[in-house]
Amino acid sequence: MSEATIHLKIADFIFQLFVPNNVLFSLDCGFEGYVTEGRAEIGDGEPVDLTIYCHVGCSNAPKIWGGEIYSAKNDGIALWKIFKTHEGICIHVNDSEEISRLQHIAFYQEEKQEWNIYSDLNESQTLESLRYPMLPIILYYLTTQTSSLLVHASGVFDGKHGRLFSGFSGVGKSTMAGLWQDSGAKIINDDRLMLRKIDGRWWMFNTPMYYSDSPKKAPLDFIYLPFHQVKNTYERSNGLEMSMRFMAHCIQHGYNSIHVQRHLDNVLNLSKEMPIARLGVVPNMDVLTFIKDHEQA
Amino acid sequence: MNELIKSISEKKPQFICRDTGEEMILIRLENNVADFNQYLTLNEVGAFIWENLNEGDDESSLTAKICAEFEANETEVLLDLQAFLEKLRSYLEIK
Repeated sequence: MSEATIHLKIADFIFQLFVPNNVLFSLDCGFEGYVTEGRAEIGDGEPVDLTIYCHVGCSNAPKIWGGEIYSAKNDGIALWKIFKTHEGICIHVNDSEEISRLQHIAFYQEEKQEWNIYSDLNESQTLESLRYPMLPIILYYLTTQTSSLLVHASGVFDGKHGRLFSGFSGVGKSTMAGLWQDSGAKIINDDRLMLRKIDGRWWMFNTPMYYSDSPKKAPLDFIYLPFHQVKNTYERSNGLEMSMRFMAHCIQHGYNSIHVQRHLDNVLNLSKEMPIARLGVVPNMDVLTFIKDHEQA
Repeated sequence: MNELIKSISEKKPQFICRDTGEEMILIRLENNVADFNQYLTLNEVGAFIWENLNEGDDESSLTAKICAEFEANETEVLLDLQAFLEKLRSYLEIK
């Protein structure tokens, strides 16, 4: 069967997709700007980081998986499950909008950095191999093999410094991003960032979300762990404690201790290269001056 | 004490030990979740004990390993070892 080739550039990683020619294939609006026109645009010298073979039909997936090793549950219902195979792992991914429906069966071979994704066609008879949550899962596995992290955080760049605000829902990630934007800074993303160490420097990137946005990238200089407070406060006392707090916001599947160790090494490296501080925040423009004063101290 | 050593060796696979450059940290990895809020820091001797504590070890074999590595007094090492193992008992939630 003939195949078309699609190249994506996400967080400066190059993905090569092989897509069957006999079906309609689509990527949702969040991928706009990440699809490159061709190999020439990427640069012939740049190696492919990940190869993804897209296939039609979950029922066509080879039945080669073994026991379940991890299950990602939402309100007690599994959104996706990971199974062992002889050559890697197999992930059964349910439809996030109709959770009882199997959407993808994906096989990952770590050594080859290769995915084979079998997906049922959607209601429009279109193949959506990277439909949520498939892409975040793929990105997560990239972080287990490279100097990178996926983190729940907002990131802003004011033209001089890149700042990241990390925490669980409700701590003020988006609020902080909005305040910096009002002061003229660019928001990289206000919810999820990919961090990468490239040529000795840490960078933050946005990645495709459920809405359209252009790819963005900025150097990372400061990490903050905000929380609401009656006055602005800054705490950087125990570096290890701050690293562990930050690590808790990084996206990870804890079933593989080697992956956790790799992430821990990446966080410890980050913490050596930039300050990580807890930040009590009163959400108004004064906090920006407060932050800059502490950065210069 | 030897029962405690056996229990610790059995629990070791549930923990990640990492060198931060200045100290070692132990992190619990249980039920597929790493608990980054409950970590234990180990100094050089503590890290050596953790890494060299194996199934089949007992108080005297561990003491001998530590004395050989750090050229320390056996009596002092034994007391320090007992104190450290009790600390691990608490962190590893061994009854």
